[in-house]
Amino acid sequence: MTAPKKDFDFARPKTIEQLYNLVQECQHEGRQFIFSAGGTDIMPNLKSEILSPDIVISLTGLRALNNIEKQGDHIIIGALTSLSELCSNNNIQKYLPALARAAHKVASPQIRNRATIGGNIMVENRCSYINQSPINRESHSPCFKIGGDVCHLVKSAKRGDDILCQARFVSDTAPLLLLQNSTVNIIGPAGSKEIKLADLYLNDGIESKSLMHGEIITHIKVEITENSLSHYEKLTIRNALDFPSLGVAALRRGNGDISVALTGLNTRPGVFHAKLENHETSDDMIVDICRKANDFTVTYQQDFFPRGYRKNMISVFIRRAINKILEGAKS
Amino acid sequence: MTDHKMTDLTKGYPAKDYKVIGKPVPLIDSRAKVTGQALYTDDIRLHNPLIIKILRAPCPSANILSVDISAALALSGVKGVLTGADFKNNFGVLSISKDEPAIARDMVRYMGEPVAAVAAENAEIAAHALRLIKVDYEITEGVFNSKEALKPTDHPLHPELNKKNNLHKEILQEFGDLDQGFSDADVVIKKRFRFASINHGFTEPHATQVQIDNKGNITVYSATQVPHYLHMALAEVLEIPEHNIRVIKPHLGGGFGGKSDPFPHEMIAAKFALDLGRNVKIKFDREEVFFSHHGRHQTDLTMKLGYSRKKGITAIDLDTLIDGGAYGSFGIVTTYYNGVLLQGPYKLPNFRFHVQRLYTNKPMCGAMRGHGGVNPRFASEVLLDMACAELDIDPAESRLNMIHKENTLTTNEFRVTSVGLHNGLTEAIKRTKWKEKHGKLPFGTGIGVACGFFISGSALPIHWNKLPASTVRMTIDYDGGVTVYSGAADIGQGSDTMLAQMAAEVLGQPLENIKIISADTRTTPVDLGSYSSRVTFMAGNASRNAAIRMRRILIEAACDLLEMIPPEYDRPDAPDNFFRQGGRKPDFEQGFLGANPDYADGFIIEDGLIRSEKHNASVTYLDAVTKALEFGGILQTSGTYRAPKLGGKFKGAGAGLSPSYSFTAFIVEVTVDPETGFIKVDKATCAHDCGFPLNPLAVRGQIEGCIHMGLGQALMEEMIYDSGATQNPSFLDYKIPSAFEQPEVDIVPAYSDDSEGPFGAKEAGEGILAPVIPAIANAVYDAIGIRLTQLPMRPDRVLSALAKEREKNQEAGT
Amino acid sequence: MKLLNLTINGRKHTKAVSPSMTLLDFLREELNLTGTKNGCDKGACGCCSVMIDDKPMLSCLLPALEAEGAAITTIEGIAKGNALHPVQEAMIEMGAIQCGFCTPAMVINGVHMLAKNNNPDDDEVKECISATVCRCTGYNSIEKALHLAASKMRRAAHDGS
Repeated sequence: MTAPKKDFDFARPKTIEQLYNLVQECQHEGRQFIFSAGGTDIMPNLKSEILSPDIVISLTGLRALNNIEKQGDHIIIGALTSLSELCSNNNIQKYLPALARAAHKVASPQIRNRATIGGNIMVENRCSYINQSPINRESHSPCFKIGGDVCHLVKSAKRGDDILCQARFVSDTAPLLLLQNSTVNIIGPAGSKEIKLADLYLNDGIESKSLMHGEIITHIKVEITENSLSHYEKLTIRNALDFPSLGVAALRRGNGDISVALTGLNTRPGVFHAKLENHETSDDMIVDICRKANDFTVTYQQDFFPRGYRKNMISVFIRRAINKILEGAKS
Repeated sequence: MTDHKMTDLTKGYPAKDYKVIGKPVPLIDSRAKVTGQALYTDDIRLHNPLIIKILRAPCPSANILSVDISAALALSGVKGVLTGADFKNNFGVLSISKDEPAIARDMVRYMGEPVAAVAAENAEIAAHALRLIKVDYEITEGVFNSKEALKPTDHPLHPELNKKNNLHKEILQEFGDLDQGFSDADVVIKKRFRFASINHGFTEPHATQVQIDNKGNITVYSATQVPHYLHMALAEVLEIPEHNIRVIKPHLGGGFGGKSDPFPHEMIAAKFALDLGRNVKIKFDREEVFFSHHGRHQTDLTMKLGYSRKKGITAIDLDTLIDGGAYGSFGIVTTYYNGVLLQGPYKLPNFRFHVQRLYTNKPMCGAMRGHGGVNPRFASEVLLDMACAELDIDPAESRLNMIHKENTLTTNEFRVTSVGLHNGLTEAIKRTKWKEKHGKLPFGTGIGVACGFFISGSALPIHWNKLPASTVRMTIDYDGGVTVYSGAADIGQGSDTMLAQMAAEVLGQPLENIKIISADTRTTPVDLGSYSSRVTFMAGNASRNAAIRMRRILIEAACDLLEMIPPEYDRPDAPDNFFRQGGRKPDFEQGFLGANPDYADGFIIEDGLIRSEKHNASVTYLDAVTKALEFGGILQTSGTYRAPKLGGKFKGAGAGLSPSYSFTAFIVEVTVDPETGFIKVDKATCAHDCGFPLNPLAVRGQIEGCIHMGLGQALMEEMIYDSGATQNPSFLDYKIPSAFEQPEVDIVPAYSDDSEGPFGAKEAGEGILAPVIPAIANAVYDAIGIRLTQLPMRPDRVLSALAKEREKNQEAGT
Repeated sequence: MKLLNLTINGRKHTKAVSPSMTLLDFLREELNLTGTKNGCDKGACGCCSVMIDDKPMLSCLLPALEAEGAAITTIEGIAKGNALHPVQEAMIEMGAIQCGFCTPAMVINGVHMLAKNNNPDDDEVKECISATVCRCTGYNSIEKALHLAASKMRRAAHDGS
């Protein structure tokens, strides 16, 4: 084994109260903790020493957070709902089929049985220099994300820049949730709050989520959009296992307006709207969206596909997603 | 739903009354594997083993100024630390390039190279100790590609070779008259092709455990394809006699060439066991597997091919650089194979190849399924397709006309015996409706063809000696149970099953009566190992020969019981009956070619009886066994295989010599998305001439597996290096195709009956792979009109080629 | 060390484990259930698949303590005595086993799929094995085996009713 992994302690509180007692204890004792939902992304990062906490606090004991409910014109998804439960849930299939599709495109069946929706929207940004063997990381000088002074993707980057770290946002489920105006319920040592999902995401790959240390997401509240149709398309070389080289969620509202959300192309997801009334034809509207999506994209070479190709594929995949919707509208 | 019907691969052969061979037989260890009971190396539980971990260099090129192990040694629970200074002798699978140290001594030659190793009471302590080892590196300028490595330098990777460059091996061979060949051609095409290095991707990571007894003898359990070579290398590196070492290969989780070298960790583990007097254990992480690599060479080649309507291929001129990485491994063989494996499947009258293998600061490359032949095969099959397109000739028809005839010599004096490619390709053309499809499918869908050729075992051994290439010992117990002892390593390909089939068929026993003990250097006679597709041909023949001798003894015993004269002596000039005199004439001189499988014609062993048809009399098999046991108390035979004398008299004539060659044809159908550049392989139709298919189920498995691996190299697999640093040492980032990418497979018979193969069989494990890849490329051309010359054929490369093609067409149009 | 209670192949276990030990290491090293394989240790090869409360998961991605109270089925718990599961029988029959290193995982995933749906289509079968790397078979024979097992199970269900 090349990766001497640090031993960590493990705890699985059963209630929120237990959880925060433990958090307080850790803070008091100065023990570094991380939360783990399904752990399918955390564990490889622990093994590769990208994370080295003193204790892993598993949230899977919080059974109350594992449910899906329809409340009026919203679907409330407990953050600890596994992706496979999400895929097979009747309400999701009925009201948010594209979310089921996106969730189904995550990793593999075994991982989806474990991985949660909360974990997926919180998934750590990825970079080929960070998500590496320890030897590889050791072979380069430490980058900003691990406390160093360089970005190996953008060599000119320096402290004080707006964005220090270009690690990519790779959640498959977030784009569709963003299009559905989702909000997330958060609790933390300081109490609970509800924020827009869009506000969860920040620009920098180092601190890519606005969640404060010690806070957890309890629920995701997803708006059901009347008469809308949506779809998710994902670019990967294999039809299994891979993180999205790019992902496109598209939503068409009853009035013909179209929104698109992207993943895998920047440090955060991108959301773009176009109103049919502002365009002469629906094709113009698509062209407009593709242009916006292109402007948003920052593809540094950190993927199986070269950056030029990924850029070219943005409009292809946006069109495909939209065409799929339009086909659905016809049928 | 998938069609479950399977073609009978033995169809077309003259009716043979075989009971066991030619029948689809599940591998005999399937039950152990499907229940989780099969023990792989890491599953073995030795008493209280120390855990070994290796410290690996975080840089690809450096001088090691010092290694300070004192803090590690001082850590409680650490039992030993080894560094390069602890190993005097280098090793290497080829006796002509033993250039690899168990642990780097003065220089680091690739990132991930072992620089120290720790043995400790548990994994956590070992891991902790690694962090306490201080290595002082002086980073040096590395060489990261073949072109660079060609340049003269004062600091070569291997100063011990006393060369001022990084050239490991250079071969130039020329046959026939190249100029004449090209002037005979109707079309001459020259192109450059580039190939990424790829990894075997076997699922079981390397693992070794060593057990030591109180006399200092060690038993090395290791995930290896070559127990015999490992045995030799251990003795040499550890400087102890071979009889103090026993190598056992437990169940093995895939090899594909990636476990066919002795490895540093095997030396390290054995050394620790000897030094510390403790059992030890080591298992690799997946990233360590990638750092160790030994995969297919990154290749940059230029090939010029001449083709004539009348004569077929008239000449090939090949110039190749192969990037060997830091050490030799099988590299010298790879270098030859890059050239000589182009000698088939077609007649090639004029031929030159120039291959250079370079040392670079990257993990070493070595043997991988289809060894050395895969990349040049891609080039020649694509160029042939281009030539046909240019002359408007059907590329499948053209291939049919050029295939070697049976019993011919190639230009470089390979002896080609059986050839089943013509009928196989003909059948594939028919089955795929090739003529209705090729050149006629709508844009975006296409069909392509390619053929291949491979050795059935290297005729020459790696270590030159006159010993048989394979020996099998066979015994029959008092209860009639047969045990086959063979050094051959079952690496998942099913060689144990094949050995059992041989014995069962000859001895008229059900397969369940045959037990196999294999790949244990203490109890099994030498077989050189599972590489170069040699096991079926060589160990198979050895097992068959041992069984033929056993059958002879049983029939003589039956004759004794029946008071008949054994058939061998039932003629006027017969020698004395040694059997009746209580002794047997030793028969060790008789090689396999002399052994008559039909010995004792007129006798049949079946259903527990030995019957003489001539005399209409029988005894039970068990009575005959008991009778035969009366003499020495044990009933035992040996069988051997040695290749016949083959080949020309020129330097390098030995490379690629094989007692027989396999032939393969592929027709592949694809869909290409011109918008995304994605290639989807819809269907692959394979005709593989493996001689008589001993076990059609296993042959099918090899074909489907080769398609998978070929598909991976064709479309997505690639080792990515950044200045010598392996960028994708994981199964997440090294893209192995999933079930979704695997095409539907159709297998058609390509029958031949090899006069020297065991029951007419030849290899089925490797040769199949090479033509998969050019068949895909040729199908892509048929689909969208582009020629891809770089592997993997990633979607972005498809789109770039398509854009260039459109540009060209536009220019041509204006 | 922390105490772990769980049921494995129908048998209850209570054992002290290191909190950072994975379920895979627990099965292999503590209980000597070596049928579950470690191919990549990072969730990308599928070889460590086990069923946790009847769902296949990757035991390398799970601290053993996550399985507190869970019922786990490993490859050793699939056959009933000498009677193989139809998936196991079909894997043997179709030649879907070569080196065998992925075989336990293929069986675990196949058994789970067919328990839910004994008439899967081609895509469902592919999906079921898509994240378990098999380097030997090219998957074709495994797919055929799962279809064959499905038909055996349908027949058994029909005969039983």
